[in-house]
Amino acid sequence: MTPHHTHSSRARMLVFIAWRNLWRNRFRTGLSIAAFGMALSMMIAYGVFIAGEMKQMRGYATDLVLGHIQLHREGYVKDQDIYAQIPQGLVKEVRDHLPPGVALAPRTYGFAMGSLGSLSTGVMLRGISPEEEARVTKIGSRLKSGGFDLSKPVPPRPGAEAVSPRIPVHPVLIGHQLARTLHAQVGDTITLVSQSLDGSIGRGLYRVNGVLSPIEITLDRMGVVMTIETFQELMIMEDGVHELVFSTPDSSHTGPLVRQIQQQANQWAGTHALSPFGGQVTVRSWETINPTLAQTVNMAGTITVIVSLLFFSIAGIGLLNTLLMSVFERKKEFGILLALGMGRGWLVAMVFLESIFLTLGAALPGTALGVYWGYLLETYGWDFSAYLPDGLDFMGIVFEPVLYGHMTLFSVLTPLTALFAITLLATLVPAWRLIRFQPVEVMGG
Amino acid sequence: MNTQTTEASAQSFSQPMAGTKPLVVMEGVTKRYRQGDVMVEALRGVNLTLAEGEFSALVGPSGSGKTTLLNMIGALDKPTSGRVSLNGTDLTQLSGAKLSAFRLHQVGFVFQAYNLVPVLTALENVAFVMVLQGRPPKEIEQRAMHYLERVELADLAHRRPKAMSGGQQQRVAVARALAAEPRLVLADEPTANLDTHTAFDLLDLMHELNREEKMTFLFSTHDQRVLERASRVISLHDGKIEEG
Amino acid sequence: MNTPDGKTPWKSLVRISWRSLWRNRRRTYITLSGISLGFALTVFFIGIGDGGHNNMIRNAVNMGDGHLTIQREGYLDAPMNHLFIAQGKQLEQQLLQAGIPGRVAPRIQLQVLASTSGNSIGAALTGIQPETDPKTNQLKKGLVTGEWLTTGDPQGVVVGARMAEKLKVKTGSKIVLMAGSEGGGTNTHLVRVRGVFRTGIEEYDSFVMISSLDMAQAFLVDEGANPAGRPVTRVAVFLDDESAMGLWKARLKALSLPAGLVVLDWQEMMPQLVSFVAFDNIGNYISLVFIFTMVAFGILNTIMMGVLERTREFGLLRALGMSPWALFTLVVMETFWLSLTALAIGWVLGGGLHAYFALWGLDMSAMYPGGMATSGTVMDSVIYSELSGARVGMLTGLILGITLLSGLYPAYRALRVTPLQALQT
Repeated sequence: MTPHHTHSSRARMLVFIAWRNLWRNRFRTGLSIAAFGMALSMMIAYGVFIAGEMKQMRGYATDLVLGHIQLHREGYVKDQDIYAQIPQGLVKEVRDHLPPGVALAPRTYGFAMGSLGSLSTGVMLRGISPEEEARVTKIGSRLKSGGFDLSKPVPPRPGAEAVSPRIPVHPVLIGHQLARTLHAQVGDTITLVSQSLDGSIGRGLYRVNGVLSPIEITLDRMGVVMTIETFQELMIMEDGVHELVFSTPDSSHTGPLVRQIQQQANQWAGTHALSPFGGQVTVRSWETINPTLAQTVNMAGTITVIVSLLFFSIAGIGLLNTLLMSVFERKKEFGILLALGMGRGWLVAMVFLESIFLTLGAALPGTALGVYWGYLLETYGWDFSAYLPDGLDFMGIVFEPVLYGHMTLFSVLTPLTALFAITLLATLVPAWRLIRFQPVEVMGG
Repeated sequence: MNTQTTEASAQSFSQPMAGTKPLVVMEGVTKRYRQGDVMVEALRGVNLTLAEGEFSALVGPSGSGKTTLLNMIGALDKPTSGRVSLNGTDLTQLSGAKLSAFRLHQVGFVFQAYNLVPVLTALENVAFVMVLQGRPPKEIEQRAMHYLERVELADLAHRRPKAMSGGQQQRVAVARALAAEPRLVLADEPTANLDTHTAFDLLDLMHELNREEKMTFLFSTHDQRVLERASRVISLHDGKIEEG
Repeated sequence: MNTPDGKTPWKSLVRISWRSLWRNRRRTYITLSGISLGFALTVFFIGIGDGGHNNMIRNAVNMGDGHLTIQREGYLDAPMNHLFIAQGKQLEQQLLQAGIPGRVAPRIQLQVLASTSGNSIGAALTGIQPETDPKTNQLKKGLVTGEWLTTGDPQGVVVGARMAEKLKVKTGSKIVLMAGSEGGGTNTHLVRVRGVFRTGIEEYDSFVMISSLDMAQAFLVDEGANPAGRPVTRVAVFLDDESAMGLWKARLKALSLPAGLVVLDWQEMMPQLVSFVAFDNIGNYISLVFIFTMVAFGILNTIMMGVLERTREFGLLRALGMSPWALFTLVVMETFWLSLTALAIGWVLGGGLHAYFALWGLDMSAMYPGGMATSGTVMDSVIYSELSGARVGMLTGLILGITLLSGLYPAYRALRVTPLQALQT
């Protein structure tokens, strides 16, 4: 036999012995496998849940509220100055030079008093261009009741207060909380009173065409959405908008697009005079606009890693216990193997093999169970509507009470890697003890 | 002392001591049990009578059924057929809980090894059975100390088994058996793990207690050296008694 | 002749079980470290979780309308300006005479549209007693320019810094306030900015406008209130001891308050906050389940190994006359000692963590520089750990319960050991 042969056959024998050893104490091995399999599956499900939550948050933030990029006048960002408008010329310039796949939607904002019957409250007006808005955000698909169509008012609700047919009525969508405050339903007619841009008091009647699901806290509590034309009529605003929202297919790399639009705007501003108040044009990504949210979303990976390591350390102590027990109760046996000429290195290798087998035994069913749970979370979600009937508001954005998981390779591999890392770490202690066994101690057992 | 023992054993070798009432009576006792895939017939019709105050040895090669026989008498196991009675009580008629109680009050055990509860000291081990019997604490303490003195281990009273030699452990077991005032002490190969000198010492101690406390002893052994100390030798071969 | 088995030998069981636990010291130490570390971690999670929730609740209570709020029935459902309390002064007197340990703050809360030549935005106008209202404490120290309000000032307001920027106002500027009235019309009043405050909390700095009761009362007078009765929309009650809330809610209800008034606690005033806390607790409970599962496995492993390797010893105990149930009790006791010791260490570790974070706080300002806004309130960026007696009891009880449960199977195995097993070589 060549040394190589000895080596490989010895290795094979080692694997065999390690495997057999594992099943000598069935209860202990079974218990360890159950514990680690359980821990692993829970961690995988946790990772899937967190990833899903973050994906949902990010999706909400960009698809429903912020878009990927926004363009404002500085005065609007700082003071919500209603006069800090983006002139129509600039809107046209940007719109005409959009890169392929990028969409744009203009918006206007203002405040008014809204009332229905004897109830009244302050409201926030948002003027949108429905077709363009639909290309950028999914607001149109988020209605609790009614429809997104803002082309004409729906007929009045039976039993609603009568309105003189001579006064024009414009269609609006209102926030869910606002609808509650005003006791308004689809088909009701609300009165809006505002101070117009020219200083006069504007007043008009508006038909509730739809009630929006909670999306954004201000929109939910006090939002009234109308077309830009309707907005301009009420506020006597002749030209321009307050906000341009962009969506891009490459949402993870907004930087170049932000710079490109900024440059475009600066060029335009160089040749056309901007209104004296309102300041420069500023283009920002959603991460810059809501940094806390962006930070939270980006924390998902870190949180999964930290929690996995933390929880597996506790599980690791259990593994350490199992391995130490099995090494110490086999002192005599190790002594015999040493006497038979097996090197210490091989003994250590055997102990490592045992713990790897044990971990594999836990990893296979644990991963399967975890992936199954992850699948359930991804497919059916976790419904918290019993606790949060109106969704969960976090940093100004309202999230749905049904949380869905998002399974990625990362959310499965992170706990799996953490498990193996902790296992190998826990094996170091008995391995070290094994190297330190004195032959007398070993034989005397 | 040795001479007396030898005389006594010579006299009673073939039959129970005359003039004393029987303590243990076994009639037609058989015991079969399954070991793996084979049925083992450990006892094949044993008839045996032990008189009160006897110091008897049960001998036979290993596997001859010595342990099984002791288990029957000690109410640790039930025969497949036949009858075992101790002090007039038919053990085969007793249920589990009653057997437990019976054992507690009537039989003392000295095993081959691992006789002592490892986490208890010598004194606590001797006291243990008396505690289970529900004796008053004061009495327990006095009796435990007394019997530890009897086996000459009073100075090791607070040691745990780990810190005692094999012979010392066996003596504590003897003290424990006696302290509980049983009718009968059963010892299964009590000297098996001891060297010759220690084995003789232990048997001498047991015999001395047999005489002084009028305690009935039945011990099994396959060690021919200790036989001369027995007052009666019962020989077991292939599950049958070959006495006399 | 058969003496029945003696009573259960408790003393011996305690002695044997306790000492058995320490026979395999290494194993017990490792198990203990696992359990107590897990437990300490749980204490930390729960402490920080509860601390965060309590912080949010306190902020909500302090910035909002106190622990208890008295207002018109139906106001919560539909906050209409004509739903005011006509005899505000009388109600305040009544409450002051009740001897509430804390503060009583009459307030007028209105939704208004604030307009200047520069802009027009929605605002929450809160009329208070400028000298005594708890809001003064929070906002006066944040005053950036100008003066705080004085009682009887019929025109003065202080506004948040962001609102001042949006409206382009500074101290001395005029603002037109407009509120809806019962008939569907509007009422307007002119006010003057006396000062500007900055709290760092967006909701406050952008939306809140404070005036004296006398100013805000003008809108109620428009709705038909008699100014002589000092009308208010609500009276907020702040208790010195928040745990006395239930008691005082009952006592205030027992007062003969004017008809049509209700006493609400903060849970009723802010149901979404209650839901949020319940929701957020789910996360904590999940980690609790995870850690406790691991603890249960650890205990089961240790105790089971201890039982399996002591079959002989249990056989001996049985042969000596111990009953099976006494053996069962013995193993359960061992489990109990293990968990008691783990709890003691766990509470030292977890209590230490708790004490540290209760004293110094957990600084989350890297993640939430200005605090975290959710469910209508704010959680500060530094969270101090809090543990109530009920929590301590719950965590301790849970660990004990789980431990004893995981000891049942090994105990059952011990119960089945026969005396014959003592004799097997």
